[in-house]
Amino acid sequence: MKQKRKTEFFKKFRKHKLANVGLIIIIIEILMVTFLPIILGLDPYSIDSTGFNQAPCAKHILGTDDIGRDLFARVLYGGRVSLIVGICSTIISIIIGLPLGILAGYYRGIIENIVMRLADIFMSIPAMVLILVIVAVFEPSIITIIVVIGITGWTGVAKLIYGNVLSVRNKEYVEAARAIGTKDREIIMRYVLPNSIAPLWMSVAFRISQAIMTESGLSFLGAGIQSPQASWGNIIYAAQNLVVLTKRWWVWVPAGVLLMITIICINLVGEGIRDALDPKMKR
Amino acid sequence: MVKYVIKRLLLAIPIFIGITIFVFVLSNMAPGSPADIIAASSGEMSEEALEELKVSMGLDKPVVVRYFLWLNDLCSGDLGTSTRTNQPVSQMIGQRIGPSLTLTLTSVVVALLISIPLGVIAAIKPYSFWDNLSSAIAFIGTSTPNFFISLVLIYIFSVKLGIFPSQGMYNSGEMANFPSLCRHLVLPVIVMAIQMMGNFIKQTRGSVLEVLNEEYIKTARAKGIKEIRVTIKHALRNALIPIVTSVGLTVPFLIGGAVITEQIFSWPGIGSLMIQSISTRDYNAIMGITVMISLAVILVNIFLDVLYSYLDPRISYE
Repeated sequence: MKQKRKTEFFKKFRKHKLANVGLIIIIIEILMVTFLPIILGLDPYSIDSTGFNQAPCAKHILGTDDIGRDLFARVLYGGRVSLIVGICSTIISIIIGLPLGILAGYYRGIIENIVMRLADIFMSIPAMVLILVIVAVFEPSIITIIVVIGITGWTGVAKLIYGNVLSVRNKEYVEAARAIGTKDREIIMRYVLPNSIAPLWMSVAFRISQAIMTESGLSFLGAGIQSPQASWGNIIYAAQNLVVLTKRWWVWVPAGVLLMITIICINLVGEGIRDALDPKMKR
Repeated sequence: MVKYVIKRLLLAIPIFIGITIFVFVLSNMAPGSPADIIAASSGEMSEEALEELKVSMGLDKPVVVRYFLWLNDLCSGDLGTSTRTNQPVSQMIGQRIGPSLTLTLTSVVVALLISIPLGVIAAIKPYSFWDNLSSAIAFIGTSTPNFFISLVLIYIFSVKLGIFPSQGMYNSGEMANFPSLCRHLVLPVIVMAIQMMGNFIKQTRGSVLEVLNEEYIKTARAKGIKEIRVTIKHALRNALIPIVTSVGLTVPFLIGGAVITEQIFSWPGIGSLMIQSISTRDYNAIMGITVMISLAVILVNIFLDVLYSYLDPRISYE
């Protein structure tokens, strides 16, 4: 049964052409940011004393920045950071939000009240503002950025799961399981969870792209990943200077275009997953 | 109706208190008290003078007492004094509300004016050219980081073509005047509108599609009412209700986006004040701004809920 569902999912996903293009580009990108720096021996921190602010040339494919660091290397390392932040923070959101959503929806009562009011509080503070405040208190580093984006994302996951659990918990098969004396833990793991988790899978890709967008926005504001660490956001940060913006396109355009392509491709994959999982979609 | 509004306002109070506790605890976890920051900025200061400063700022009291003192001041509209400018925080926020509202409201209106027609056309003719175009716009709008669009727009329209200014609300040294404001609004409004349009278009398309299948639309058509009238008067009016909700849901994202947009375009709003306060560790200002923004989000949501139940009589106030 499970196997059948899986093959059906892949069959439907393969039909979504744009989603497959997106997936292939993302895979190529992951391979590139992982292996190219090793193969080519690129270093994003070493400073080329012979030239800063160099235009693209044979030695530096994408030129150098204002202190002479190779921008091609920085863009690749920045890609690593962005992808890692996106994926890890989404995992953290799920680790926090999934159990809370299930407990609130299944047991209701006090737990439901506490979790949902907590979610209301979190949702009333705009995520960007909340993240900026937290980052102002705890020094920004890759770890804090991942944790902070992950923590602020739990409400979305919890609310989504909570809504589904509410509709599943009163289904006949759950009541039947309860009637024959199945333990709560087993009911949740065997019946409730598998039947309420699909919408979460549908949203995972969008959550990752959203997290990447948040990280790059933060780094662009100077409140995210800090130099010398590279991130697409803090590479583009340099373009807040008008001279860089107008005279040195090679500093900010490649990172920006890559960031855009990445987000578009992840979202395309997300649409493919959603269409493949959504029983209402027949297209 | 009045009862419903009062009930919603009462329910918002514990959430608001939760936010104040959260924000207060968070900013108290920051390394270095406000007194230390002042001491550091004023250079040499003796141990004793620092202690005295702490006492005068009430920092010698336990955290719980300080929280209630702060909350008490907050309720009487006193958000403390900025350690950066020595101005009252409430006054700083007051000066910035106008520009922020101008920018965000204009963006919402522009986004709606473009998204609703596109969404309606897409719903009337599904899978047509217009439908594909509008979903492409929606997709790209939600997939491009706003700061990158901003930079590209500034590069093209301010630097290369020189049509629109990219900094502030007015030219420097210029008196406030409407034509100049409009020219300064163009680029930041485009950036913020593009971001919102994705959601609005999808929401409009979806809800118009749903409404078009209703019985009363068939009735209207059967009565021989012109198609355009059916769409606008009968379908769109009912489809507007979910659109109202989606506007409400975008408010927190709108504010988040405004922080970045205001910073890039040097717009003198709350968002750029937030960034300035964060980069100088001005905790009184950070706490004040965060609490005020959250309060605004809560109130906007209550207002939209009330509007929602007003637009749709089927939803009861109870």
